[in-house]
Amino acid sequence: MIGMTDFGFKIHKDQLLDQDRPNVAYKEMIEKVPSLSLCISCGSCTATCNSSEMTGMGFRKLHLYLKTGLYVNLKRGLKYCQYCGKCWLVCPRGVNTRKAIVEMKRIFEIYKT
Amino acid sequence: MESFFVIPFTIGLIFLIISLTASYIRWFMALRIKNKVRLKKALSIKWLVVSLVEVFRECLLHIRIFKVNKRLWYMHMSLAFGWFLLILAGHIETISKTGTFFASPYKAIFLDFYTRGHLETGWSVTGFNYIMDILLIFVLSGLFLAIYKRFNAKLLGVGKTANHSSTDKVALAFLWLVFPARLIAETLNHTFYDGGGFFTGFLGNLIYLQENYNFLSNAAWLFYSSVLGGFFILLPFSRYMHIFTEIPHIFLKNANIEVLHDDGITNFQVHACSSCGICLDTCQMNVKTGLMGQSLYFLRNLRNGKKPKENSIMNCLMCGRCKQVCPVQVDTLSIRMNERNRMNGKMNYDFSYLDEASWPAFQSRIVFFGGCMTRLTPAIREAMKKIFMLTGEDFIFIDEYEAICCGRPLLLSGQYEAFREIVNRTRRRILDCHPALIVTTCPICLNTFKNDYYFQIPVVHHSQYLNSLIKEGRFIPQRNGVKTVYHDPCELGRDLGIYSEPRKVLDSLVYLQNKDYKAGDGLCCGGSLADLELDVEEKMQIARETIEQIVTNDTQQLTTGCPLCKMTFQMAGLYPVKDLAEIYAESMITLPVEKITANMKIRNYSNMPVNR
Amino acid sequence: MKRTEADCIIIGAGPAGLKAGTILQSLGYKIFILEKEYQPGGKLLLWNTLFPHDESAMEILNPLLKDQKKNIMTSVQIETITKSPEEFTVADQNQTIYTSPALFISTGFKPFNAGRKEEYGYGIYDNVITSVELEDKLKNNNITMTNGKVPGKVAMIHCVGSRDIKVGNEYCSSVCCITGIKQAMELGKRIPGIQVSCLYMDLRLNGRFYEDNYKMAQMSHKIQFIRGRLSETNEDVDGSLVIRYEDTLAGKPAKMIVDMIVLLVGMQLDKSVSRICPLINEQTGTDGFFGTGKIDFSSNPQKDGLFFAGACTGPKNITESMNEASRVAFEVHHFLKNSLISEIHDRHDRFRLQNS
Ligand SMILES: Cc1cc2nc3c(=O)[nH]c(=O)nc-3n(C[C@H](O)[C@H](O)[C@H](O)COP(=O)(O)OP(=O)(O)OC[C@H]3O[C@@H](n4cnc5c(N)ncnc54)[C@H](O)[C@@H]3O)c2cc1C
Ligand code: SF4
Ligand code: SF4
Ligand code: SF4
Ligand code: SF4
Ligand code: SF4
Repeated sequence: MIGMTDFGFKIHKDQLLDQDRPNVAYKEMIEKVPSLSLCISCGSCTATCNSSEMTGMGFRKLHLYLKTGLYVNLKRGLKYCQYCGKCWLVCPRGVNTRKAIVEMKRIFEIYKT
Repeated sequence: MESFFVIPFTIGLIFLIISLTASYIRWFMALRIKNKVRLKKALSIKWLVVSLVEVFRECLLHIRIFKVNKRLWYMHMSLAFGWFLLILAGHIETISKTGTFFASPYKAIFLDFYTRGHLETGWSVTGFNYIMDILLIFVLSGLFLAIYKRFNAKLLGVGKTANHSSTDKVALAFLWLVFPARLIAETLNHTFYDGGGFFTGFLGNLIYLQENYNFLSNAAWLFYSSVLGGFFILLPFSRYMHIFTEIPHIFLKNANIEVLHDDGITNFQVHACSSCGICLDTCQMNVKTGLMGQSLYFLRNLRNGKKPKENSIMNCLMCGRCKQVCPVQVDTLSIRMNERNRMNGKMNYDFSYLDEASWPAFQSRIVFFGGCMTRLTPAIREAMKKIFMLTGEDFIFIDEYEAICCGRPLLLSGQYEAFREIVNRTRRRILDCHPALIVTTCPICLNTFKNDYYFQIPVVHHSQYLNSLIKEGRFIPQRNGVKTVYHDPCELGRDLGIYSEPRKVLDSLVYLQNKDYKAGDGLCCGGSLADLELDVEEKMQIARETIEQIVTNDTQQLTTGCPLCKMTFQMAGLYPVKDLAEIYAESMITLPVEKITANMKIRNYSNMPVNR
Repeated sequence: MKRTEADCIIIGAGPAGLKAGTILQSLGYKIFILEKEYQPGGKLLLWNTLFPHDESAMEILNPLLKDQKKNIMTSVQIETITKSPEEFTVADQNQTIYTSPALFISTGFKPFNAGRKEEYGYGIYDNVITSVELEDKLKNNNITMTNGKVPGKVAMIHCVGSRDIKVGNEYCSSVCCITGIKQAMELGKRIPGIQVSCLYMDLRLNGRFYEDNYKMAQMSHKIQFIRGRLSETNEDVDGSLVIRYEDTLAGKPAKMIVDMIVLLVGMQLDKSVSRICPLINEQTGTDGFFGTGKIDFSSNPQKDGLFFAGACTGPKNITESMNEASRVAFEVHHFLKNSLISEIHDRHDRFRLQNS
């Protein structure tokens, strides 16, 4: 199987979103917060987000980073959240955003040491 | 030799005493210094007397349960007070019979055994027998109700009876056996050895057994002793720990000790909960009971040493309704906050980006803080701007273009360190404007400002501000006949006690249908930020139930003083919802221009309610 | 009290009801069309031109009304609907009673009440309007803002009150995307130099010629399509509106200053009949529209003589509404024919019984 990832199209490693790599964290999150799978990336959450004005971050991106395995960005973005809950209020799909954020913080062990 | 049967009882009793003392000492040592100091300060005769009276009223007479539910009260009271009187009367009887004050405990408990054959007569003996029998019947009647409640909760006026854990069930079985065991022991005692009162003596005489069966009597005594001993051994591991723990709990509570961030006091309170189930009936979490997040179950899991599951800790609206009705006055909210802090307190954050924001920092007399939620309710925002403009106030709408958070959502989720960080920044940002008054339309922010910001200037809810305008005789609004029901937001009502001002304002604006209120009784809209587990449909179910309970047949509109309640009710979509500011602003623009200009002025805010 | 009998009563004189009426009448049935407004036509009365071919709504309406005038009762407030084993009885505010073995419901839809999405600013800021109101402005050829000026920049907001669990409507209203394009192009035609942006979550342009409309909007009218959903609106001191959304394709939070916001409101069932008749109310599906929406038509309630068609069985455009109405009209025909046959059988049996 190792050789298989090199098979086919050539995308430069830095640019590649490798969707063949198992994304354990995402699976775990979906189990913990099933509504996460309902996100349609509409961006309402980011638009209303308290932190997006200054950081460009927002729940849509956090979810996307998780799903695509861009964990470094995800960890950074998680720290900006003020937990205000507006993303929950505007989400048209009823994604339990705030629960997802604490769970992600827990999974990625974003703790102060 | 025959009195070997007291051994199980004695072992149980010794175990119980050691175990209780050890726990209490351990918990006491765990008290935070701050609370120890408070306790020391509280020590006084008055405190002692007040607490003793409360112990008598609550541990024995259960007055608070009486106020909630009379039948449930009889059950609790007859068991607690009845048992207490049995012990007390038994002791007095022992003293009178043995003539010594310090009789060993088992003498009193098993007195009938020790007085076998002492066929004394006289008014005191008959009297004691009589009293003891009455008390036993008294307790047995409570027991009967308790058993009946297990099978038919409705009869006792309770909606839901708690599901108990297995240890609790075993302990319960022992407890239930204690009194029947005593009845059997005494009855058989009187079968073979005469004596006894009108009840046990009578029953004893009814039974006819041959003399050589008298070992049965001894066996019954052994059974009684074992049941008691067993119960005592189980007690520290079961909910019956509350029987004794409620006593130190009352003393500590009356010393104004804070539960937040203190594991010692948390332990006392957790064990003082009797799992009575009164809080289950008021909790609106009935829509999602599977996670066992309701206070009774949450506390029980803590008590059992089983750590409550993360989602059960988070499955709570923090509405405070359970705390309000709890007859033991357990501070359920703080205990839950402690658990949330333990879980999430150390989560990382980075709010340095807030320093780069360009905050408007004009010096203004009034800082109007809308808060995150008001950003999603432009009607409230615009109404407040209009009101300030028309009153001629020198005000700044501090978060009109850039959102800042008061921090409460972080606090409620247990992310305490992040919360402190936000508080520092928001506080600085507000104070940079050097205001004389802070007005907010959001009870959530108000609650945080009052409790965690330590402002020296008054912070008020907009209903208080509007009420002060009306009180001063300026901008007396015009009243219309729209039939309106006001919803008390949890944080404004139960948390901050602001009930009358919004009603006064509304009463001069509309036909207010619920002018009367009972402090602490308000329902939660279901939108609470404190809960992390409910999904949209469940929240809407709570909202709909709440609306249906507060409206009457001809209600035309709902009002509230909280943007989050407003949004939640709007989502439920049963009635049009307005904030009281909107109604006020609407009525204000109908005032003649001269009246408005004549009344425009900047005031001093010395008459505003002060912070606590 | 007046009592009138018919073969079929049609409630709602929108395109669906009128179409069914035309067909049933041509098949020789006696029908009544009851309409609560003072004029028949349903939403056709409100719209200016119709997608996808820019036809005038009046031109569609007039042939539907032809030869039917005498069957249509307007300004009828229906107060009760009851059913006996044989027939439905409908009574209105004047105590006029209509009876018929078949009842055809085509009460259409009610536009979503945009005030419930408070954060969009409808009812708070003057220049936030709904697509229904814009249609009216187009019809009167008076596209102005409250200050009398012509807007230079307009944002069309998709999915208002549809696909939104927070207002309880989780379905897609199916016509608002194309309505947005229709209206954006109309604005482009009438106001030279106007900038229109459509803020969408997904573009659902799944009808015939819709894609052509989409391309035309891009090419000839330079309509901007932005993938993002409005989250907050604010008003500037000069009355212009500031909106916040995320351009999800650029991945950046964005704001835009516009003169006017048009909310493309979705459809909701008009509950005026289900509220008064439990029998009809029972037929409400989980999405709030009538019927089951299943392909198998026999699963629909028509066997009891109750029929539904048009936008009241789910969001539809006019073509689909009329198509469904035609199909259901033939179901009514079938039903009436069968009940006629069974009635003859009944009579025959009775006759034989009497003579034996
Ligand atoms: C903004 C907008 C623009 C649109 N533009 C187009 C377009 O360009 N092209 C297109 O194909 N589609 C368009 N549509 C869709 C179109 O309007 C519908 O498909 C169509 O109106 C459905 O027809 P109907 O007869 O089922 O319902 P309706 O048109 O809603 O008619 C229902 C009728 O029933 C009446 N009624 C309701 N309740 C009662 C009662 N209790 N008693 C008596 N009468 C009652 C109503 O008054 C109404 O007259 C648009 C929709 C919207 C929202
Ligand atoms: S608002 Fe909801 S659906 Fe939209 S991007 Fe955010 S989480 Fe996803
Ligand atoms: S809760 Fe966090 S992610 Fe959601 S809007 Fe608030 S700051 Fe943004
Ligand atoms: S918390 Fe209070 S009300 Fe609830 S079960 Fe415990 S003692 Fe009873
Ligand atoms: S705070 Fe409210 S939601 Fe939480 S357990 Fe108590 S009553 Fe239930
Ligand atoms: S048709 Fe378009 S605008 Fe309307 S609900 Fe569906 S996706 Fe949204």
